[in-house]
Amino acid sequence: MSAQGPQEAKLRPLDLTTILASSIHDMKNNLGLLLQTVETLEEQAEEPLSRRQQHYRDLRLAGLRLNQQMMQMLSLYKLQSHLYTPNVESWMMAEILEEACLEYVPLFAGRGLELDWSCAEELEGFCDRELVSGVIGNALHNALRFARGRVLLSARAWSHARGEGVQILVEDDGPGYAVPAVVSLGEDMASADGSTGLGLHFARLVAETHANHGVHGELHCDNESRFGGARCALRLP
Amino acid sequence: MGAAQGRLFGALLQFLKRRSCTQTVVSSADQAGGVRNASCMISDRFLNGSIHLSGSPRDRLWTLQGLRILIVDDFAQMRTMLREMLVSSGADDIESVKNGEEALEAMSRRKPDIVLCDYNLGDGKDGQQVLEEAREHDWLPYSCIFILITAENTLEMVMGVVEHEPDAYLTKPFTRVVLQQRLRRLQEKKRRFAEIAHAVEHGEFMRACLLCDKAIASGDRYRFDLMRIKGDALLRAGDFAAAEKHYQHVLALRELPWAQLGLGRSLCQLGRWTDAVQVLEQAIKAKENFVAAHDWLARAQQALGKLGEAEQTLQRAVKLSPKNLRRQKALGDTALQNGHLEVAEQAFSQVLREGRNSIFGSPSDYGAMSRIYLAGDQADKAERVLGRMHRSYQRADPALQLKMAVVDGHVHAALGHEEESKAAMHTALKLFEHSPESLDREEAMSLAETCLVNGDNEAAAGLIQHVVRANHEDDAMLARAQDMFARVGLAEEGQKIIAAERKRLIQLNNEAVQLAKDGELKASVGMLLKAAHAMPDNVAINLNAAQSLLMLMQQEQCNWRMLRQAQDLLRRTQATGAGKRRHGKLMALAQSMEKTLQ
Repeated sequence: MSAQGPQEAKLRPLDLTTILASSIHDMKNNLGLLLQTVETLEEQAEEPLSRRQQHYRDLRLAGLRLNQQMMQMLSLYKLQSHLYTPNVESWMMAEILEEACLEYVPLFAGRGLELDWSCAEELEGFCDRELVSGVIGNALHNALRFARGRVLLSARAWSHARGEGVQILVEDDGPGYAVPAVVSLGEDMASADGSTGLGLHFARLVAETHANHGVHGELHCDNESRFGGARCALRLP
Repeated sequence: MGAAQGRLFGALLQFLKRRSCTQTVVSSADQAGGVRNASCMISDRFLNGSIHLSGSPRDRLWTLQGLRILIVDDFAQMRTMLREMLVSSGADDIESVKNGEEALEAMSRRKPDIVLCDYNLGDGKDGQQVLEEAREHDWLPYSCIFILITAENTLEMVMGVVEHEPDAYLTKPFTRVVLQQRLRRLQEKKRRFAEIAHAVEHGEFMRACLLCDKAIASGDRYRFDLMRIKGDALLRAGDFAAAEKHYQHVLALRELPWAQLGLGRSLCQLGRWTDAVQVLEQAIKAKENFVAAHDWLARAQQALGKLGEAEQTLQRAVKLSPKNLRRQKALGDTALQNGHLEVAEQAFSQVLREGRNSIFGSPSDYGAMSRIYLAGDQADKAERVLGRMHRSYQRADPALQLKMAVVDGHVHAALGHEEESKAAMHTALKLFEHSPESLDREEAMSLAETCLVNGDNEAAAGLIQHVVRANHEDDAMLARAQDMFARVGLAEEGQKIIAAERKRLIQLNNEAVQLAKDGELKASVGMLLKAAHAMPDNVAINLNAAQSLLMLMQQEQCNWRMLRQAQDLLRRTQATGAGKRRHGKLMALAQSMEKTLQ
């Protein structure tokens, strides 16, 4: 028998990353089940579109939003503490846009809104797919709240000082931003509509951490939407 | 450039209902409430696009039927959920397992077409380790799709920082449509690269490179994927000069981590250690968690004799990713060399803990642990390690038994247990006779030392000859062998044995060269091939055999069989020092010959 006493085995304190990561792993499994169950229930609901189905969609939307906010929280923490550097790879932008739409179209439809996407098939972009998808998801959620009838998600080339990148745009036909000027990191965290502005902060951080040959990404929000509402542009070098 | 525009609206709803009703797009859009117009536009707009949505005719044909699918998740409900998602896409051959060990077992039984593996699998191996071991075993052909499912979208220890990456990361939770779309996209990509992958898997690296170049020149939209495959092919072909050029070209276009790592690896292989250090340090500066870059940086630092810096680099890498056995071993070895016994002990404790269920574990790890204890004058601990080794390898095959006997003999000798050491030595020597290839260079040297300590000079001489035969131009190795003889007072005999073995090899070489000069090229080739077969690790013999083959091909006629033979010889040759340049030249020659054969 070894001489090791039970008192020696002290509980080691966990670091914040471990706590967050472990909690999120557990929460995610349950959230996944919840969403899948809702989706199944939704499919089985009586036709025509019942009120019950509408409730399911709201549930799903809430679940998705919860998930997104959790991801955003963890990503923000990791990016700010320099624990994570974007995993930049080449992607077909059409693929990323299409996937976002696959997820959001039913939710938009549930609210009587149209969501389209548009992108040249061969448009190539360099980005951390997961982070950029998070930003797109945020922008779509925002548009879902304010749009009156339609939202367009698109991507196109972006010419900057040292070459060409891509920009991803979310345009709606809502009332637009109250203050069109672009807020910078940390400023104006609380906006007039009561949201914390954390989503915007996250989007800016994601933009800034994407860089190539000295050029950094940018976030531009204005009221130049082709439908007369808000337009949010994530530009990646 | 044609613009594909998506109006997914009703089409998706229809998709969700596909199981219960196979109606037209229009009617399901109707149910969504007066959007008939929008969904009608889908089919029109998508006619000239290549993106297929759920409503298109091709989609109805897409199915997972007949594909072998493996689900790996420790959470039973997740397994069920994934299975349901896949079944609804036609899957009919699904196996579900709950941990990494079972996953590897399942993959060893039959190679899967698709693997959906959770990253977090509880106490055992994680998903990344499963991927690495499966690749190492060659259970994942290129055509197989490996998806790592994660709870986080920012896995700092995995994403973009490791050498083996999955085909895709999928963040939980995801819907069925998203999973389907990912799988379909990946299948399309794999199909697109099928010919290139086939060439790589059959060792036709130059053909693979040519195919990549052709696809890139034709404007393939996945040009960076192609460049990545080409870089891998060049590294695997051993054409490091071309690989360096290739990665420089990629980096001028884009600062991508895999290209930085590729450049660093090429420079290491070319022996340009200082340049390699610079490139890899820059890569780590841009991406602090870049563990794969740390591994190669440590190698370069070691080659430059900067053992202290190499240890620090490995320390950082191990902190980032403590489960990787090879990295822990490298740290342990370097720390032991630096006399940092505590660090070495910690590293090998981890190796022993993780190694039992890993293909990267070996009885020699226990030998290393004993050596650390012996260096710290902890004889009792060194001896206890042997017991642990035997408990860990209770049902060992002869190759493992041989390795264990080598460790036993060595440690008992160091502890002064003459009888036990001798018994282990005899076991080892008997097993060695049957399968000398089971021992690596270090293990053979260790056994030789045991033989010397126990007074069996003849057996020791035989083992050292075995090592010298594979390394007769490696001066550092020869010096170690010489030193070993000297330590037991047999400096003169040792010198004789080593010199004789060297002489024999040089003579054989010279004879073959003379034959070639006399125009007896075929005889020369035959002689060298026979020698290369007998001494597969000997750099000079392998290079000479390859060169004579290439000369014969130039003189007579080029054919694929001879070219492959020459390329195989070059590929297995891990040239160092002066051999590197010659190796590079021969690679280039073989490449130009391959072009004439195309």
